[in-house]
Amino acid sequence: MDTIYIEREVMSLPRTQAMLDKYPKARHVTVERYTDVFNAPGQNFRVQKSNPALILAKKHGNRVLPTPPDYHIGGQNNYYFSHMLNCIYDCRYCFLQGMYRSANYVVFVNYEDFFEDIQTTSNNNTEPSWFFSGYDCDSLALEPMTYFMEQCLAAFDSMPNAWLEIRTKSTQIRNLTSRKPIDNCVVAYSLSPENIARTEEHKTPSLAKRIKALKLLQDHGWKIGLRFDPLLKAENSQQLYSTLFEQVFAEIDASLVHSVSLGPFRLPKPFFKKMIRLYPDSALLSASMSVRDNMVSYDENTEANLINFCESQLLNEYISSEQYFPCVSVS
Amino acid sequence: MPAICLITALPSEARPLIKHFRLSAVGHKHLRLYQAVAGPGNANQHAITLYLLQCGVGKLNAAADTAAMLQLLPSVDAVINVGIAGCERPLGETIIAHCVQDNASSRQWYPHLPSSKLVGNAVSVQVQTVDTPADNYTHDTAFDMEASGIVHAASKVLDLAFIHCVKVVSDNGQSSIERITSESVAQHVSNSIPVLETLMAALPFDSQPNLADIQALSQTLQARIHFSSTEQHTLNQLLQRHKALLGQLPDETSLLQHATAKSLRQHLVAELDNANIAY
Ligand code: SF4
Repeated sequence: MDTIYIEREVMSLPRTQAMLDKYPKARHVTVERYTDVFNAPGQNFRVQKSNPALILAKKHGNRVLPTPPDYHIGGQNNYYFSHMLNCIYDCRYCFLQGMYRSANYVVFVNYEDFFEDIQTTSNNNTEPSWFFSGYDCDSLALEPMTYFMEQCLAAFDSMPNAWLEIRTKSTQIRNLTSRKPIDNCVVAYSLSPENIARTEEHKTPSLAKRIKALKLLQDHGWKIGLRFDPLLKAENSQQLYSTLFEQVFAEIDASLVHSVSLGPFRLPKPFFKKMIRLYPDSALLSASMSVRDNMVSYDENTEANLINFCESQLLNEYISSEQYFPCVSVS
Repeated sequence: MPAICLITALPSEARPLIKHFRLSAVGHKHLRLYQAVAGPGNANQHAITLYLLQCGVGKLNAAADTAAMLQLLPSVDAVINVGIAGCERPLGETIIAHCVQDNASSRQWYPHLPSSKLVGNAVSVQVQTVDTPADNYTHDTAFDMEASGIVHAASKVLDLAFIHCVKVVSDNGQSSIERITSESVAQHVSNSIPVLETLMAALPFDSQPNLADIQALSQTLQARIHFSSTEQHTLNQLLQRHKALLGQLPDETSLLQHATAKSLRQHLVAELDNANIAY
């Protein structure tokens, strides 16, 4: 990290100072509000991605938000939260590229306010509430710097009516394997066929490493989730996805998997338009797409064929229908 | 080949740069503009086209001339303001702006600085653009009179990763503004050239897609077939998609067989509809 922007309000907090200590050579730039830098016009996501800066800030309000309607794994009350904006990985299909002007990483350091809001939201519901982490970032990728999840798990440990999903592609799981698993948490990995991961999910851990992390977590007693998301079309899609399922279920105990979901490739039209402007050289984004309800996706047939194929493979070969949730889409 | 325009306010700031980079006057009616196809390659060994604009003193001159230059030279990919500034740091120290603030409006811009590995140990500070000389020096703010005008005008066209300010300390608590001479200015700017060259070499031109071959083919086709402006846009998109999906541009000769924009578009769409990625 070469440049760190720090909101004046959080500058003196011990947590801020601890993060700054991790990058002793970085330039420090004091700002009033993180949005002055992050939302400024005239930024180029692709250019910044080659040398992103870190922004340390305080999140005021809107810390816990309801998920879109089809974003759930069986729960009634579903919310998401993001202690961080943006991601150290660089998946070509990631909607963050279309959503944000900046590729800089924002870390909100007022963790306790997040936990308090989660507690309050959970207290307002009699039924269990689900809280999804990893919507605007990868939940674990920067854990060695933030220690957010370590503290988040401690908070959820005392909230039995609140469930946490940690969505990730990261193998930074030391803060999980070094503690006792908690019952109300699912660690969910986004998985793609090996060749797709290598081509489109830049800087991410390989499929083999993700499977190894899943196995380790399962062996430690953590509930795990599998998110085959987004499903990408290819000349050889069927072969790619059946090999992927074989590889995953050869290593992990399918009967102990908490939940499995499939996510179609869908992007809001304005995000897609911005992404294609940033990456006109991307084959994935140059493929034939159609627009339905202002969302860009593969044509209906292609999408249905992909989902049906994967669904029948999973249900016929590996998991029960109780473990399966068709569409939990966030890329 | 990327193009960079250096922008200075004073002739004494421009002189050492003109000499070092062997620039010569373009002879424009209104702009004091110089040009060279310069030797200094950037970090990735590309040659660069180098310009220098001497805009005169003050942010209004700076903004007006920067805007006019960018209109005249749409191929300019980056601008770097080079000049003197007052700061409570040693005279002659070269600094880079991590923030440019217009003192009158409080508006701020944050240039996206290249990796510090690439720009060495150059110190970065806030550059505050004032309308009249200021002497309330601090070590983390440098006063100048043009930067906000340049950044304001340039940011309408360029990304903040390609707009930078390199300043040399010309006055501080021990050496007041009155002691500045044109010789001292020239000497200070001369001393800043190594930092300037490192910054130029570190600009991230390579992280942007190279669309030159697509534009060239598009222009060849437009010279032979009539395209409305919407059709031109569609043509460029289809050519881009072709290259991304199929790994190469379509054959020029076969495209030139088409008599109309519509038939060419239908041909390309059909080809792309059948294209599939194999992972
Ligand atoms: S898709 Fe997920 S892992 Fe990939 S860049 Fe986006 S947030 Fe990161």
